[in-house]
Amino acid sequence: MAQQIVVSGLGIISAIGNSVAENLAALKAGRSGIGPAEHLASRRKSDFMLGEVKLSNADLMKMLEVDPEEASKHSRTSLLALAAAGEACRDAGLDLWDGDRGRLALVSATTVGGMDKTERGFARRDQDASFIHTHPSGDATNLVAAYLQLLGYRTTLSTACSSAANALMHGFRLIQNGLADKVVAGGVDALSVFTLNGFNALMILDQEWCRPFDEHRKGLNLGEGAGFLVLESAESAAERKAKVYGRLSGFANSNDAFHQTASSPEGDGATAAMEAALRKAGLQAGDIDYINAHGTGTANNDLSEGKALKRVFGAQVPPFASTKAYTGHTLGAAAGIEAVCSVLALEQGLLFPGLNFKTPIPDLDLQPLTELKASPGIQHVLSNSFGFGGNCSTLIFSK
Amino acid sequence: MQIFIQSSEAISCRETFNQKGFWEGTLRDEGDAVRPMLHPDYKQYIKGPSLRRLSMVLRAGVASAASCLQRGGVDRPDAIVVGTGWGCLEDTTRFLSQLVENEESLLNPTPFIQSTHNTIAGQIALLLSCKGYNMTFTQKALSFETALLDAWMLMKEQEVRQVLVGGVDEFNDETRALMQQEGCLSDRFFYGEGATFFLLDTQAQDAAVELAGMRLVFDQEEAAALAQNLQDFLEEQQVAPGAIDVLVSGERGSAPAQGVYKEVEAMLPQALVLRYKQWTGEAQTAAAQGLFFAERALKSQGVPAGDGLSSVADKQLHYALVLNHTQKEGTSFVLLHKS
Repeated sequence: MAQQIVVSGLGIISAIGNSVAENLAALKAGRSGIGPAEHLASRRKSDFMLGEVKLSNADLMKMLEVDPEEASKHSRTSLLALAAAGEACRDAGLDLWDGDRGRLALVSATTVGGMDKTERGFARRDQDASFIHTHPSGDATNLVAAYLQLLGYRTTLSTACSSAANALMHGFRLIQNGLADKVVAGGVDALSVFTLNGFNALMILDQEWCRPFDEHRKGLNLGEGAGFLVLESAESAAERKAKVYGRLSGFANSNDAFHQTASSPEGDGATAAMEAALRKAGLQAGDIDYINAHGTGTANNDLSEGKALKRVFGAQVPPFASTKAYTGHTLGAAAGIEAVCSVLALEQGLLFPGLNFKTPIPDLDLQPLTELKASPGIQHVLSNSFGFGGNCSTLIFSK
Repeated sequence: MQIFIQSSEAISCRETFNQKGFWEGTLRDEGDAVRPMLHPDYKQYIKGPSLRRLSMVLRAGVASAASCLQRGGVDRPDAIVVGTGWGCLEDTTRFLSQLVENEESLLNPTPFIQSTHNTIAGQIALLLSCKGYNMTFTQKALSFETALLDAWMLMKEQEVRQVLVGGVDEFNDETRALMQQEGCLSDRFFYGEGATFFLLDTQAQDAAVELAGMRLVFDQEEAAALAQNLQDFLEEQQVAPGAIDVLVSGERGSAPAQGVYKEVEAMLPQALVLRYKQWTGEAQTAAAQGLFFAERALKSQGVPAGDGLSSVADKQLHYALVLNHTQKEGTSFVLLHKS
């Protein structure tokens, strides 16, 4: 009999706020954080709308009380991760937990690790190559583990835009296999000149606000941030009288095996991931009350995901929306941030709407939720995350 | 439930690819330069125009994976799990250089697309049309072992039967020079590169070696504490320290981690010690190469002689332990068994 794994802590930093409370307020108010970037050191930043966290690295270090002598050890990535993972730990009471800290695991996810620091130093690396310490993706994970005294198992996943969903799955398995008591799992990415130019070269950035699931969508807005959740067994949470937000009841990963960057036209990988996650949770499609869609706003994703939704849910696609129109597409952090949004939907009994939608895609005839909706009886929320390399992941959170 | 290594394959800086034993050819003194991997003829494994587009690390990953599956007699595994410490380093550097040179304009997206860590596992899935679970781990010196653990858990949950798991890393002189400049290198030891794959299967064929158990330790650095931890692990596995026939050790001579390796060696008095990094060099996913040597030792009942060919051991080899310890990063024990 599989254990029940519950969520007992949440942490988030994104363009719409530096805490869970600020993010929730923005979601309720329908307030996007996407706009011109202030901190990113790109000569092209005025060309794009970006979901930037509204704090400089200096502000972040001040907020996190990082010793100024340790400033050079950090990339923006490790600071964002520390903010969200730290909040999740405090929320779950793990900061003051007096058990064996060797049983606390950290599973992080990222696409480019400390790239923000690498690219600042790269041109003059013959004089200063200190980025060589912060560049490997596992470095930020090591730093966060040390700061938060998560002394047990740790690792980092990197599967492009689905990374953090996969971190949560790995975390679940660590608990189920007795390798950790509690796992802080999620993802992080800082905006970087590297990714901005990479996505621009692929011509999938919208220079206006992104329009998930709209016929006239032109691409995504990049964002940054981090989202982490604390997972533990239901017994462990009950024993220490921890607040329980809900359960991670189902999950699955599958591969589209279609193209390195594009999704298959009929959403094969996405369909397989959603169906397998439903099976794992022991649920029928009709049990899902709300979907936090991947919904990047690119021509390819939204059509492919929409078709997959119709394949899985038939004519009764549940209310769905993409919160990327609030935060931007935060890549390795996205599934962590959206897992927090999904758990908040469950906890608050609220279905958060999408933004900037006007016209349905004719081939799909699907309409995302456009207004905040109360749903006090909400039981199950499904969250999709898909990435380059055909990586398709689905998580299901339940009451 | 038992997990077996059905087949293995390694592209490395030695002629390890497509060998029954360890490698072909004689060893030379390498100095401390980066020794690149020896590339096989990729046309046999990657068809058509896609070969030209793929970077060398992707070619190596895909070919090593394909050959490993061929050896295991499997067309398509249920899942693919890859560990990589540096990821696709060459394409990352290429895109960064373009950014600087072209001042953020007129960029070719191909190196960006291929810079993503999971391009390796993704390309393997694409080549094999493998729609199953596909995962990539990147935790510095423990990248391969956390990938292996993920595969292990997946199999123990009986979600899958066959998993292709690998450790892949490319490296170059420039990165090595930057590490030297920043004081990351404590000794003069050569770096290698590699793409090492294993087909794990819950059902054994023929002479398959069993992946009996593994343990990762992150909160201990002291040699004595780690030796005690190993003792506990072996007890849990019901294997006496004296029963370990082969210790595949990540020790590389003068490194500061040496104390841990010496302590473990002293604990396993019967074990032949294979210091595999003297052949294939240091790498973030070197432990995958260590596992390759361990599996081949048990399978061939021999250890590498100077020419890389298996020289028959003077006793039966039943248990091999792969030890990887990196200061401040963690320690792994992987236990193999051949009945």
